[in-house]
Amino acid sequence: MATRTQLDRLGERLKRGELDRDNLVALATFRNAFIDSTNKVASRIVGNLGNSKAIISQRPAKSTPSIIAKLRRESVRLTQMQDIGGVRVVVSKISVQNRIVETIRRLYPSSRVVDHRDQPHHGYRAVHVIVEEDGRFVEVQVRTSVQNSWAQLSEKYADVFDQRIKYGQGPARALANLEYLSKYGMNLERREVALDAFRRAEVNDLHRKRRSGKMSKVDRARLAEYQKLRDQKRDSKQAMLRFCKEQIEK
Amino acid sequence: MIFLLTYDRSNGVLVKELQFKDSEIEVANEARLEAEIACAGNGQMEVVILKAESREKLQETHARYFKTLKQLSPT
Repeated sequence: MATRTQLDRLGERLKRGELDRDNLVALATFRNAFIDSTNKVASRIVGNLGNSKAIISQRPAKSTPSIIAKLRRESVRLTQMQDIGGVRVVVSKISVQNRIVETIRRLYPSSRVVDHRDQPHHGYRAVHVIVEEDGRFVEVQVRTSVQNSWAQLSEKYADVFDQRIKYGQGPARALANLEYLSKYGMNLERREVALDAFRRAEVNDLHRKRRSGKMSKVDRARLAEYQKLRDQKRDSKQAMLRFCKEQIEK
Repeated sequence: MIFLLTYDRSNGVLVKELQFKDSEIEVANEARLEAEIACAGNGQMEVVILKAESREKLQETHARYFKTLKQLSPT
């Protein structure tokens, strides 16, 4: 087995673009050591998802271009990377995301949580939980479908236009589009959280009272608040779709 | 199910896809290494192994590899 020093020297060679067979074989050996840990993490999460309807996938070993890009971009050494093994969990909404993050924290009490939702990283929103399994770090990305859609679009923009887009650089129009969509996603999800505070039973009860003419002043205010949030969510979604259509047509 | 994808970043297209059973991870790793060696001169080629219950589920979590920019834009 290679020592940390040997692996970090390998990282330096990769950083310089030395992608000969020996270096790729050594990288594969290092990376493959994360497969079992990643598998175990994914299995433990799957076994504790409950009725969340979450979609889960694994990337048992980070790709070579991604490793090289990270080595070049950051001061991190190869052996310090905590996202060689990765698990991605995609859920419907923030309340489910919170529940799953808590579940992972219970499964891995010493895990580290990085929450990008309210302070996006160049527009990127998600919760990352770094867990340790068999002495190896595995990064679990927990995203809502809104957050994941944005992340996929951002990656694609980076592929097609400029890899620097992921880090807030590159073509201005692409950056502006992604910033707009990230903010839209944040606002939409904030409204969803507020709407979730209204239990279905409460909304049904308010509608029933309105039909029977037995609404109090408090009931009327509560129903108006609910309807306002619902309309805002619908309007912002329509505005976003118009924006995307215009961008595609350009 | 294991998926070995070869993705052309600069054109944003999936150029090759191989599927393996979960028990064939070592075969998949070998195939990945050979694909990486073959692509070594081309920094735009990404060879990646992903694992999911089905291709449909993988398309949800890693849509970027399977869809065009237009398909990924909200509609």
